[in-house]
Amino acid sequence: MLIVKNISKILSGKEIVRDVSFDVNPGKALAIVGPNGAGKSVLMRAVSLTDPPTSGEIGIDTHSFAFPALNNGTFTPPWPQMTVVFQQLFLWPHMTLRENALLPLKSPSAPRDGVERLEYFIDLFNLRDVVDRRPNRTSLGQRQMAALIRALVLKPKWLILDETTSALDVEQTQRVLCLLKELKQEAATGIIFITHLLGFAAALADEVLFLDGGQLVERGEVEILTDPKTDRMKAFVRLIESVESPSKTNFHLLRASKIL
Amino acid sequence: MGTLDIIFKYRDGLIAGLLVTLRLCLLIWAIGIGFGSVLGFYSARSLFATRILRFCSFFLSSIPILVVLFWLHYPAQALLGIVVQPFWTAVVAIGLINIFTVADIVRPVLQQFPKQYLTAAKVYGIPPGSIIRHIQLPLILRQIIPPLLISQVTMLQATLFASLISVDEIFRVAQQINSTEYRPVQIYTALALFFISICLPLNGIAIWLQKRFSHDLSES
Repeated sequence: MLIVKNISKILSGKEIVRDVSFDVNPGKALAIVGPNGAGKSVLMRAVSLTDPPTSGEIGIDTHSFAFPALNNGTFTPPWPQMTVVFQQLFLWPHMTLRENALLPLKSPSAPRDGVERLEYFIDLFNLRDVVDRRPNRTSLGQRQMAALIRALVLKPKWLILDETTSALDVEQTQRVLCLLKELKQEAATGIIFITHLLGFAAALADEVLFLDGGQLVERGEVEILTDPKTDRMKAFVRLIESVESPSKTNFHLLRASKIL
Repeated sequence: MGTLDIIFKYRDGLIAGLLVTLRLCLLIWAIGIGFGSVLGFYSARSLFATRILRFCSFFLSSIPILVVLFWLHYPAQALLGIVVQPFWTAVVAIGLINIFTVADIVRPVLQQFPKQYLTAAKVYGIPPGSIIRHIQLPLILRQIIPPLLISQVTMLQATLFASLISVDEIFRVAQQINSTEYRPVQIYTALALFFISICLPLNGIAIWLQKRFSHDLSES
């Protein structure tokens, strides 16, 4: 189980994430939604321990981490059991997409069938033609899929995804969705993901967390995406819907929200 | 008498001068790359060391190489009461400049290394040895090698100054031949050909690597 208790993150003297708590069970998915600047990515980095929280506690299966950390701030995160796909991807630029995915297989805890998994994902995401190219010779969507593959070859128990489908077309997004659902159900992988696609969140998540201004505003089952309780989330959902399916009415809504 | 005739007639002297130049150059390169890399590495690790290095480089860059060479050859030796062969004075003077030049190339590359690539590697459980071998070193070398090559070509050219403290390197040999033959066009053309044959390919490689590697370093 992954438990996040009262975590806060201060960056440059400003509290970006304030007192956020949630938990995720293995085989379940938690979607984190919210406007830009809500602190979603900062929260993700804190939970993944790549940029640890300023205060709070994080429990991942048998590991427990309290912050501020004792022992001179040193701790051993449960990587790659918990793996992250960063929003900026961080593919190693001097390697091809294939080499990027093969290098994590040097991890002592890498699965034995890592190479077979890699080949399977390459075919699944239709990357065969570009897999031997360096990242700068591929599209953003292809790089996003390569970054996802790099994480998935390790068979992680916990997967943290930061807007992994933002540059994918509908067909590719559908493939990613099916794969993540399969991982959730068959491999009991726990998934925490940030997305701006409410449809994607509704299809994959078991629970949704709405973050705004660094605070947890609303949390509940996927139904809150269609029937939010708080005014802030209602406004957010309405705005996203208006952008996703523009109509005359929605155009007025956007204008009313001072976006146009 | 043409350029080739002069080269042939004075081939023994030119080869001897060439060997002195190459020996001088190799020593300067080895000292600069060896000590400069170490200095750059350590100065990248602390703000204090960075400041000291930057001050030294700034200070040294405002003094012409010739002045450093003359100062070490005459006043420094007189003050210390020692006599050092001109060849070794040239090695120390130009080597010292090369150390700071190389350190100034290495330090910013190490300081500005994108840490997120290492974070990603750690998240994916890659062992520390593999991180250094497969991620850090290739990315760092790709950034260091092109400017390093260009700087070492400059150091090769700087060895000419050694002739002014009586080191019998190729420029001094050319001057001696010219004082006998008085054929400056042919003699200095021969000298230019020598430097072109070494410096041009090195500069070409540096530019090619720079172009290739700067593409490699951008993710998108």
